[in-house]
Amino acid sequence: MSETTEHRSNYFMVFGILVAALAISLALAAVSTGPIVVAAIFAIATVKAYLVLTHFIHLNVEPRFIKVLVIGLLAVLTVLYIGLVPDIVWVFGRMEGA
Amino acid sequence: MTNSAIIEQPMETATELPNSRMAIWWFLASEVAIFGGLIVAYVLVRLHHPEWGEYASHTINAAGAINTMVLLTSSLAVVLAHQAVEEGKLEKASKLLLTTVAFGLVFLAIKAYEYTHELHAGFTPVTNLFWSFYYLMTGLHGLHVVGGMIAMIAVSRSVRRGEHSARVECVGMYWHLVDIVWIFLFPLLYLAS
Amino acid sequence: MSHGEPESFVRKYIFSVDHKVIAKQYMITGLFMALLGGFLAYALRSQLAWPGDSIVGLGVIAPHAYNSVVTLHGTIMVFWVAMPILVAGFGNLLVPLMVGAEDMAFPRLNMLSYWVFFLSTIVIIASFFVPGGAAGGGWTAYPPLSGTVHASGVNWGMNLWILAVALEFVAFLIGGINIITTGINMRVPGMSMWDLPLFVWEELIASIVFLLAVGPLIAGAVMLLLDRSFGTGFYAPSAGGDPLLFQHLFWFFGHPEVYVLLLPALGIMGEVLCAFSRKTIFGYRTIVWSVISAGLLSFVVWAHHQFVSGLDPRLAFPFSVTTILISVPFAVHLFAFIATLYKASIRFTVAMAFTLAMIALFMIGGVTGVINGSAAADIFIHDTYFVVAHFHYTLVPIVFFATFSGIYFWYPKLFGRLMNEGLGWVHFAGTFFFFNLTFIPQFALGLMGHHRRIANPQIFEFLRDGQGLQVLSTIGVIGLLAAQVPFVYNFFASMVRGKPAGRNPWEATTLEWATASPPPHGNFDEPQTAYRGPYVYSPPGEGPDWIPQFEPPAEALEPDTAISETAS
Repeated sequence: MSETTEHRSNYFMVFGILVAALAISLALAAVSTGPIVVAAIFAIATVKAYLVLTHFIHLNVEPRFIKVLVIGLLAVLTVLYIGLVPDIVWVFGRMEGA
Repeated sequence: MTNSAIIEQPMETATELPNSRMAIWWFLASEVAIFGGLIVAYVLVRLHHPEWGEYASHTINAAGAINTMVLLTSSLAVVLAHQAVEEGKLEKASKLLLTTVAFGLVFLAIKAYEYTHELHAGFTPVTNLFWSFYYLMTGLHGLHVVGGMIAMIAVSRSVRRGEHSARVECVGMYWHLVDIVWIFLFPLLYLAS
Repeated sequence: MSHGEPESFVRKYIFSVDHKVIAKQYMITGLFMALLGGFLAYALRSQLAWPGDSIVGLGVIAPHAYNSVVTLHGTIMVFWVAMPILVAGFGNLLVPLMVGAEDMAFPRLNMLSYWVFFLSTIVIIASFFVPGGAAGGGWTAYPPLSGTVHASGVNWGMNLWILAVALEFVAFLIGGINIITTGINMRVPGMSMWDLPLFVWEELIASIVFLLAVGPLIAGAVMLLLDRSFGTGFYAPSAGGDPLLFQHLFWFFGHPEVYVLLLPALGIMGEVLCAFSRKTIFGYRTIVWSVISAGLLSFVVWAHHQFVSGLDPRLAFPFSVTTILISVPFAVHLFAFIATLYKASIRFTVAMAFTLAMIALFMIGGVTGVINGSAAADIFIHDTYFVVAHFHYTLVPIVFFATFSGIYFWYPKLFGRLMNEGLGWVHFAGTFFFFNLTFIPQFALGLMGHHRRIANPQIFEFLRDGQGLQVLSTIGVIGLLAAQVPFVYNFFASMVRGKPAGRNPWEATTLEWATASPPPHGNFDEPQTAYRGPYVYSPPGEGPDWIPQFEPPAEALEPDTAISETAS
């Protein structure tokens, strides 16, 4: 049952961290809306998602190919984002709103 | 029934993963691809329109923050339900699932309040592209909440009868994903203004 | 097995959970839709060869109806023929058998996926009959053509098109998850991932690629539907949206989709090739890695479809490079097949003939793909019949030659009998000849500048000289359709008249040949074990020239019984 104990070791602690992270991001948003603060808020969101993924969905005890799947999926979405930035964000090389 | 030993032993498979959990992982992957595609599209269009920051300031931050808290707590409830199944406490697991459903209802109620408020303020899905994205993304997420609630009611009934206890984990994994999506939607649509 | 063999007709043949019945349902639906898609091809080719004339069996095609015909030809052939037959049909039939499972991992989900697919079939057929006609925005459904009603004049046809495609995606997501879980999790003892038959590998990678690529398009299609139905502006520049966004989302799925179709086809070819060349596959691991790397690369090539769309010109170079790069794994793959043929004792059956033809024809498709892939050349030939000829030289071999090869090969596992080889050769010769007659002229037409979406080429001065080629191509497509008559007859007649096949008529090695033909409910008489890799042909020494994967090593059994059991 070692795997089971690993599962349940720290649900309340993880939850506490998640709530604290939410509080921090709210405080940051109240302070300012500058780009650095926004970046920090998204960094915190990523950490929160990572905690839920590893401890609540138990990615930490899954076999390796599931981890590869998660990384691959994120890579696919990153590629989609990078490929579209020049066309959709910068709108380079064509007339806009024509 | 509390201490019963009726815990489903998953069928042996060629990997250490039972079929159900494997399938849920792939299902979650397809969901992430859908939401991910939508979020990527939103981020790209938003970066092209810096003026959207002003639109985003009309979303109700407090409601979004409370909803984040509601979903986080519901995630804790559903992961505790899974733990209860592993300990053989099926009755408790069933109750925790229904607790999660209650949190889902609270979430939807707050969301409904927000929609009402925003529609009254004149922000409809066709007001401008920001609001189109807002209603599309939160609406799609809300549908996933509803779907998860229906699944959890069904699972809580069957697990009370001692059947399909492995499904608690599956429905929990799905619910956590819905939570993760909200974790990103909240700063994307509310905080970044 | 939790469920016994069903008794009633409905549970056994219609709402069946048996993967073999579901496979047949997918295949027969797909073949029926192929007839419809073929008829549309005949209609549009006739219009191009004799513009404005009344077409036998259809009448005169108005220009906007021509748009619908072209759109639905492409849509049906990709989503309602290639996907159900190659991915779902063969996948359902073979993946459980090849890994030695008694059924799919989730039989009831499997039934659900077929019936969702069936519903989508009804919707797409219904879209012909709504006011305004079927969708006319091309199979790519680019906005603004698809984004507003007034752009193409089609309202409900386009909405139903989106709905049908969405249902189809749902069906194949469910089916894909099922296939992935079955292929990875349900392997018999002794079968490592490196002992999987090539078909299972290719089916797995194809399903994974589909699952990862389709998500953004589902999101994009929802946005398109909202644009049409509620007046949002996701793709409308006037509202701050961007039509190029849809093109990107479409091709981000659309190009991997090509490989989703290609990989199962290559898997079928690999199985057929080994069985009839009596040799082990050349470079099994190399092939698997080439498939995996092609799957990865397929996510970074999509924008080569958009070189003339207003794409950022700085993107043309990287996407040209990746496009040309992705030909490398497929070249490796095909060279491994060709190397398998080297010094082989080839048995010329119809299935083998289709596979060999597919290698040759697909090479033409691949090489012209490299031409299209380089941006400079593509700007000249984009949207011309050169491109049409190119992708038909890839897709027709993939979808039809590989399917025919697979059907002739696995017909015993579908219906317990063998198909007639004589009729099969007629079918093969006709298909091969008329396919080339149809599409070789189109390369020339394309280089003359013939745009792919015009209903009447004769209104252009510079295309009038090409009318002879148009007629030649149309004769080709009529011949191609006529060549399918012996196949259709053969397919149905062999169910009752074909020679009973026995367990292993082709003396092949993989697990599906360990069971009866057709396999009973639950597939195998007894649990199987894999003792070796999938392709042990012509081992050194005396004795038969194949050792099945499921045959225990010689020392475990007396040699005589070991061989007679598998041969019986």
